[in-house]
Amino acid sequence: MYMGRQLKRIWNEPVLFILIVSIWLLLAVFILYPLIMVGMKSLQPKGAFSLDVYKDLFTKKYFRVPLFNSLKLGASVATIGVLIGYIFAYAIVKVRVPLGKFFRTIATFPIVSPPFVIALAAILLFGRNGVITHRILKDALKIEIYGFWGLLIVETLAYFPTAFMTMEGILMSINPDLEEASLSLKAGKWKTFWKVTLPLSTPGILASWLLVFSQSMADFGNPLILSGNYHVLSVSAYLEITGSYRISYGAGLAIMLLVPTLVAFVIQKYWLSRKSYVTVTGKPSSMKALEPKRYVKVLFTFVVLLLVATVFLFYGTVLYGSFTKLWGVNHTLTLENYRYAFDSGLRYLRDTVILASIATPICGILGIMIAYIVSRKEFPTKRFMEATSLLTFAVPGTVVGIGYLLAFNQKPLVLTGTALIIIFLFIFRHLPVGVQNGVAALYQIDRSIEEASLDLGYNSYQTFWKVTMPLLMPAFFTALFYAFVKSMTAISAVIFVVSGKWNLITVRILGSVENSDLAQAAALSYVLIGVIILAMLILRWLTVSFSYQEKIRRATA
Amino acid sequence: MTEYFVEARNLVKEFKEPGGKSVVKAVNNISFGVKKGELVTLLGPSGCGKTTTLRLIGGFEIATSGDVLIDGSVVNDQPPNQRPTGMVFQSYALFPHMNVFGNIAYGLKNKGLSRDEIKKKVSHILSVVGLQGLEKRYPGQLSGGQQQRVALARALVIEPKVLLLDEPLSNLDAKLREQMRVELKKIQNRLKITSIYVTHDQLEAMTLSDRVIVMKDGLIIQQDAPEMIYRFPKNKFVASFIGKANFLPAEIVAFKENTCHARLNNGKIVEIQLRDNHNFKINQKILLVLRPEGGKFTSPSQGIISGSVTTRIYTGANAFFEVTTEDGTFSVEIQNPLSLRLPDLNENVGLDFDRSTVSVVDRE
Repeated sequence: MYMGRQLKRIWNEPVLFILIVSIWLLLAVFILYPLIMVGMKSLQPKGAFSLDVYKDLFTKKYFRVPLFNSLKLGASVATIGVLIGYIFAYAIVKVRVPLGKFFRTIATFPIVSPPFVIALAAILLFGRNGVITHRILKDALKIEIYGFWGLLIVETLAYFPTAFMTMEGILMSINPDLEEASLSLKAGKWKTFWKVTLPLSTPGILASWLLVFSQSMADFGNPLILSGNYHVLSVSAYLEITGSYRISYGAGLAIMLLVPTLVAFVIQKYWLSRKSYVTVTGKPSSMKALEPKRYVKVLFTFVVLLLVATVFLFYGTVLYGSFTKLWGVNHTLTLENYRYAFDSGLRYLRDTVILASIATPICGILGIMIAYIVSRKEFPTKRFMEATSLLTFAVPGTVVGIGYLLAFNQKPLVLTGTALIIIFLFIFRHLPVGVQNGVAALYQIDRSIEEASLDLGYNSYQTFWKVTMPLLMPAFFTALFYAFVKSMTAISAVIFVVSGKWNLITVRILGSVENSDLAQAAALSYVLIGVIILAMLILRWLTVSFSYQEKIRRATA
Repeated sequence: MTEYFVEARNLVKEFKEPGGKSVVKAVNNISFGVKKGELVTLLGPSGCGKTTTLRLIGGFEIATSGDVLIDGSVVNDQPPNQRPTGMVFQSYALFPHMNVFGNIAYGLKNKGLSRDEIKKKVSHILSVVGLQGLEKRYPGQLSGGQQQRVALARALVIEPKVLLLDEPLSNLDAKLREQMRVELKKIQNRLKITSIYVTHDQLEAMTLSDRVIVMKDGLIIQQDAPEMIYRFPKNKFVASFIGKANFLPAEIVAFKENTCHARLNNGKIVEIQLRDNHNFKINQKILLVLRPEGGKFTSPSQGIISGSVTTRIYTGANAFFEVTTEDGTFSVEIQNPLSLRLPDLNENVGLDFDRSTVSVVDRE
C-alpha cells in the first residue's frame, strides 16, 4: 500500500516521473548492460552456456599467474601506500610540519596528473638508458625496473595520495580534546598515539587500504608500460582481446578483476562506513594541535621532505626529458618535442578536449541530479539507483571498456567507432564523483529549503534548477573538474573503444612509450598537464564567480 | 461533508529505524479536524509525532495509511506544490541565494502575475510583518527575528488556504519569542487564516490557539480549547505538561450532579467539579490535580492537607513554596505576596486550593 502511494505521488509529478525513468534507463543501458555483457561473454564463449573459460582460468598457469600477481601487487601497494599516506597525513595534521600546505599540494599531484607519467619517469630514471642506472651508476647495479618492484614503486607513488587524503580527513575529525584528555590522565604522547589516535583512525586506515588496493588492481597504464614479464589481470585481459582475439577469455579475466575490487568496495561502503568512530561532518573540529617534541617534528619533516623530493624528482625528470633530444643518449636541450607534440599530436589533443568537454557538463549535471533525487525524493528502487550510479567507482576501467566493446558492437545499439561511445564512456565512468559530491553537499543543506520551494508551488524539477543547483555550485564544479581531468587522462577503459576516427592523447602517449619515443611521450604528457592546469584555473574562476556567496558579497559591498 | 476544512483520518506514519529492521510508528492512527479560520495547535514533547503530522498535511511525508483532506477532497497523492498550503519552517528555510524580496516574491512568480502586482503584494505583506525597507537584504544579513518574519511573509503572500507552522518561534531568544507570539496572534486574528501550529511550548499553544491537540507517542491524548485543557486535563500527563501540577491521591466516594466527593488519605472529603461527559466511577482511586497558583496557606487544621515549609523563594512578583506533607511535597505559588503574611521555613502550615483550579484524573 505504501509503495503504491509512493508511486501515485510520483505519477502526480510527471516531470519527476520522467526524470526517474530516464535516469534508470541511462544507468541500465550504460552501466548495467555492458557489465552484464562481460559476464555473459565469459559464460557463453561459443554462444551456448559453458564454464570452459573459468575452468581454464583456474587450471592453466598462464591465466592463474596474472590473478595472483595482481592480488600480490595490490596488497603490497595498498600496505605501503597506506603506511606512507598515514605518516604524511599525521605529519601535516598532527605534527604540523612547516610548509604543510605546500607539501600537501605536491602530494596531490599524482591524483590529477595523467596516470602513467610516474611510470614514464621511472623508465627515464631507472630504465636501460636511465639517468640513475645508466649515467650515474654506469650500469653497476642490475636494477630491473620492469616487473614487480618497478610497479610497486610507481603505483605506491601514484596512489599514496588517495590514502593521504582519506587519512587527512579522518585525522582532522579526531577531536584533539580526546588526545588532551588522554595526556591529562598521565598517558605519555607515545601511549596516547597507540591507545587513542591510532584506534580512532583504524576504520579509516582499513577503508583507504581497500581503496588503494582497488586502484592498484584496476591500474592499466602503469603496468602496460612497466610490467615486463610480470603479468597482471588488466593488461592480460587487454592483450587477450586486442592481441589474441580471444574475447571470452578477456571477459573472463575481467570478471576475475571485477570480483576482488567489487568485494573491496562493498566492504568499504557498507561495512566499514558503519564502524567509523568519527563522523565526518565537513566541519573539522578545532584546529589546535598538541605541540610535538622537537625531534619528532624534525623526523617527520625529514620523511615528508624525502617523499616530496621523490615526487619532484619523478615529475621533474619527465619535464626535463621533454626538452631533451634523445633520452639517455643525447641530452641537448631542444623544443623539438613540443613542436612535434603540437604538430602531429594536436589532432589527438583536439579530439580529447572536444570529447571531454562534451562529456564533462553532462556528467556533472547528471551526477548532481541523481544525487538530488536519491537524497531528497522518495521512490521505490532509490537505494538501488544510488548503488548503481556509484558502481563504476568499484569497477575497473578494463572491465568497463570490454563491456562497452561487447555491448555497443551489436544491435540494438551500435556505437563502435563513433565519438558517442567515448562520450558515453566518459559520462558514466566519472558519474560517481558528481553523485557522491552532490550527496555530501546536500547532506549539509537543510532540506526544508527545498521543501519551502515545493510548498510555494514549484515542482521538484523546477526546484532543482532554482534552488538546489545554485546552492550546489561548489560541489558541481568540483565534480566538473574531476570529470574533465579523469576524461583527459583516461586510458584503461577508453583504449577499447578508440578508433582511427576518434583517438585520444593518452593512447598516443602510450604509443610513443611503446615506440621508445620517451622524450616525445614526456612532451605530450606535459602538454596534457598544461591543459589540466588551464582547466583547473578556469573552473576555479567559474566557482568563484558563480557561487551565490560571491554574488551576495558583491551586492553588499 | 464535514464541518472541517482540514481533516486527518486515521493517519499512520511508520519509519524504519536507521540500520535496524524494527519499525517506529511516529504517528499512530490519529484523527482530527480543523475548522475554517481556526488556529489549532499540535502540542507535545519532542518525538510525539506532532511535526510528522504537520508534514503529512503539507505533503512532505507520505502516510503509511490514512487520509488527509483539505477543503473536502483527499490530497494523499498530491505533492506539496499541488496542495493549497503554506508552511513556515522551524529553520525558516529561507533561500540563502535570494534577497528578502526574492524570497517573498518566489511563490508569486509562478502564478502568472505581472511585475507590478508582485511588487504590490510583496510590499503589502512586508508591511503586515513590519519589514519595510529590508527588501534588498540577504537572509545572512538579518537577525533571527527578521528571518522569522520573512519566512512568515513568504508563506502568507501566496494566500494559502491553510497555514502550517512548524515550531516557528523555537529558534528565537526568550524575549523575541514573547514579542513574536503576540504579533503572530494579531496577524492571525486579522487574516483569519486556517492554521495548524506545532510547538512543544505550552505557553505558545495556550496564547495562540483556538484549540489545542495534545500528543504523546504518536497518539492524540486530548483536544480541547486552551481553557478546558487547563481546567480539565484528561490525564496525569496532560495535567503536568500544561501548566504545573501537584497530585494528591484520593478516592471517589459520591457523585452529585456534575461534582464528585473525593476522600483523601487523611479522611477529609473534598468536593470537586467534573467536566460534563466524564466517566469516573464510584470508589475509583484518583488523583486530585492541584495547581500551585491556586494554593493558599491556612492554619494546619483547616486546609485539606498539612505539612511543613521546606523551601521558600521570594522573587518580587511571586513567592514559591514547597510544603512537605504525608502525601508528598507540594509546591505553592503566591501571587502578589506582599499583601499576605507568608509562612517561615519549617513552619507547620495547612494548604488549601481554590476549587475552581482543582480537577480529577485517573491514577495512571
